[in-house]
Amino acid sequence: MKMTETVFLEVFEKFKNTVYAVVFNYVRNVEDAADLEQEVFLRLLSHAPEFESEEHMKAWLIRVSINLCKNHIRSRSYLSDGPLPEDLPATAKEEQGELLQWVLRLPEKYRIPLHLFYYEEYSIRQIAEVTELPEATVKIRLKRGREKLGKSLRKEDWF
Amino acid sequence: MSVKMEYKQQVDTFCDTYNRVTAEQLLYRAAKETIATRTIREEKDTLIDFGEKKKQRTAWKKVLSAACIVIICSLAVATTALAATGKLGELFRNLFRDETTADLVEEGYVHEINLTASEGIFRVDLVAVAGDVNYPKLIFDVYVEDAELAGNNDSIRLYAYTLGEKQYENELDAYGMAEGYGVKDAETENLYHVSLDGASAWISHGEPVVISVREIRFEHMAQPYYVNLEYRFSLPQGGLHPVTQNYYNGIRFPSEKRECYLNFVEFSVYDTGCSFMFPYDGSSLEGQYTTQDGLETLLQMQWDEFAKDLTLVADGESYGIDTEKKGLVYCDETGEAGVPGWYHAWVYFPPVDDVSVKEIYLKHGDAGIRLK
Repeated sequence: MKMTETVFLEVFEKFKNTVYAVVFNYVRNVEDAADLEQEVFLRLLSHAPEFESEEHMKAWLIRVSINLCKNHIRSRSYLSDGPLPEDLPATAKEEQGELLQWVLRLPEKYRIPLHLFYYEEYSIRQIAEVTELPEATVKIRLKRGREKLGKSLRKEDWF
Repeated sequence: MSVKMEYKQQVDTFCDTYNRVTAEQLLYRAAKETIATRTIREEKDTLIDFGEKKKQRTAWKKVLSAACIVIICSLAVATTALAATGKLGELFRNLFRDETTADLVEEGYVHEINLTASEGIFRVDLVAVAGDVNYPKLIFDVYVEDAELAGNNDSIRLYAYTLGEKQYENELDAYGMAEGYGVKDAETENLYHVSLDGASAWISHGEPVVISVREIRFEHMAQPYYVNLEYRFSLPQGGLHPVTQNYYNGIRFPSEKRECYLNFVEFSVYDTGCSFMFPYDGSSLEGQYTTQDGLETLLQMQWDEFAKDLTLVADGESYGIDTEKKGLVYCDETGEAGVPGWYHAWVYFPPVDDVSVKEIYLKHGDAGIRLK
């Protein structure tokens, strides 16, 4: 798949939320998320390898998003692992996003696998690949993340 | 509604509300950045200040150290025991057959270190550092308390980390060891003199450095001795012979074969180093290989083909490249080794006295640029 302007416009439309959701899950800050999303897509324009399929491209975008976020939060770890920021938009904090709000309150190590599992419908193996974690670790993190959410939400179907 | 559906809906609503980035914005930014990069590269005069270039250059050298690309060993032959630095010139001239360093030592470009460390049958003294900014040479005296071992072996090899303190403490796994060769002293049966080229990125720039000897290998022994002998010191700035560094900030190098940019040229008393940059991303080469090995092989072949036609001409005398010392490194998206998407390549020519010669040209075939 060669990256032309037309292809890029299609790809961006299709995966903009995928990338934004991953980076926001990491940084939990609207401005930083927008900056990081731009970086990810600029990399796609300038550095992308040849993709075998759309799934391959999506995995690449998620992988690059995770890497950029990790670099970003190294110097600002409070954003990723501290309490939920006060300036978080209302949508994520209240009313429309109760579930999202609770996911965002989880430690980073639980919320990223959970997000990929529920939003991207990734399998444990796929999550392990993009996060570069062993499958067993992903499995445990998903289980514990769901347990924590279940306690917060009292929803049995998280288990 | 299932939890999965509920979560997806909430994330989508959130993204639709707050994700304001547009494709047009990105395409505009990408185009703008490409133009800006070109402008910097094609501008002959300095747009990037010296400090920044120096930092880039140091970073590049550190990457080289990390990759263990260049390990230069010094050879030695046996002669009399030499402990005092007053006799170091003699040591380099007669023992290591290194006239260049011998001259530098005699001109005063040598620093006594005199640190001692012992472990098991070994006492290893770090005697001094001599040389120029690009090639700090560490001199060790190795005493072996085993008469039979010393009696059976005329030469040894010594392996050591030569890193900045921070790199040694935090990133040791990322770096390789330098190798030094040495031979037995002619008079003292259990003494070996070793010369080892340290990493200039840290040693020559006044940073606190750690020299950590980890292995000692004897000529006729299959198994090495593993040790951990540490020496910490900072070399005063200006202690080694200076190297002339001319920065060209990536000006276009005139070549019909390849799009190529000249980064900098260094005139050391040991060699003349030239650094180039080539675009990979966006070039006709891009996408030909997706594996790292394939990419490196491709770039190496391209670089070999280009480098063989390079010559350095000083006052009419022409010098070819040192084929053993050329190399390259591709810079991925981390940007650690330079500009992402480009590869950085270098060659070395014999040393040229850039002060006394009147004209110096760097040529590729018939085309070229005047360096002086």
